[in-house]
Amino acid sequence: MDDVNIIAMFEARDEAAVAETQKKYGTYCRTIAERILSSREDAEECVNDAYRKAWDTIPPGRPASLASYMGMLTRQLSLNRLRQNKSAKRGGGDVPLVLEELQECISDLGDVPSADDIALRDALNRFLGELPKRTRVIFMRRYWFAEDVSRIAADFGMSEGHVNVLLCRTRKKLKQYLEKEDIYL
Amino acid sequence: MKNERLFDALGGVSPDYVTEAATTIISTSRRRPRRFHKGMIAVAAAMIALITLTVGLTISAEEEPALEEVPVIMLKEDFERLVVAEQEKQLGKNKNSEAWHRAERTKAFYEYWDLSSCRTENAKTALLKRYPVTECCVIYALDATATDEEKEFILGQLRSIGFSQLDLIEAYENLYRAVEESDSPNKETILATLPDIPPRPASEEE
Repeated sequence: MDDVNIIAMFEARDEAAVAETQKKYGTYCRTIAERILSSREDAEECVNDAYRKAWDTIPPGRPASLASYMGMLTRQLSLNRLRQNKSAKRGGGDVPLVLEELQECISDLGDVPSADDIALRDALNRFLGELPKRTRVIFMRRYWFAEDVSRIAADFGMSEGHVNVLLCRTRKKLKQYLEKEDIYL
Repeated sequence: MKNERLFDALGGVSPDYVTEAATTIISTSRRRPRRFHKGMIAVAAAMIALITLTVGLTISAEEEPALEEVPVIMLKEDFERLVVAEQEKQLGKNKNSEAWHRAERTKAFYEYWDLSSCRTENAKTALLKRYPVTECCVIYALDATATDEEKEFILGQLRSIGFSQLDLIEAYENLYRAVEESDSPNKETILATLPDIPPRPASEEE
């Protein structure tokens, strides 16, 4: 069933909307959650919370893309759960490694006033817009979806070494871009 | 922590970029093959062989995407196969032809580098500094002093012998593979010095 019809079912308060969303995006949402949390049970709970949140927010919300909306909900809920778990020292999936890699994008300039979240988000959008499509997709799959490099490499028919080099070069470019834009974290 | 802040900020980027990446995850997860019976695979392979034999389906050089950039480094085997042997096959050994001279000039722009040929430690160190990849394999590398006009000449010559963008991609992939499969403890550093492998054309990726 296409997204337009599923969203129409949400708006009509037809509970089959959740079942249709689960059928179409269940694996995708579970994959996002498992990448962040590594625990199947926690991931399953977050995915169910994401369906509930979608039910609660559509309407009034009307996402242009159900895939990206469900992805964003799942990612955020999973990150919130990860933070709770961290305080209890559980789980983490690939996220610790992803965070370690993203450290390379942080400027070494020490104590400078940090940019606000909106400025940072706008800069990231501009940076992503300037990347070639393949690079952007690989970057997003690694740092938005926290997907592991071997899966990305397999899906693109690339070697892991090549994916790692591409990500390393993109992280360097991001660091330079943020510094050029006077965006500090 | 700052990196967490960056990770969180990425969560708020344009949904278009999220959808673009999500589509590749969803489409590849749907494409992931299920297990097929061995017999089905054998039948499929036989049918493909029969069709290929009957129809003579090959991708001709004219159908492959044109080379877009001059190769900067290649494994010795790939350079000899894709450039030297191909030029000789097409041009014969008529040393008086203009085409032969163009071919020789093109070959001359590529330098052969083999770490085992270095006689002194200094020479080895210098080579490894200049081309770290020689730790893992023997290469031909484009003369770093080649001008833009010379690169245009090389590009034209390579295109004329049928060296395509797919050949370039394959040559670079072989280079990456040679490093990854080597015993070198410096693989990541070496890989970082290699040129980017261009994306395959869209029709190849379907």
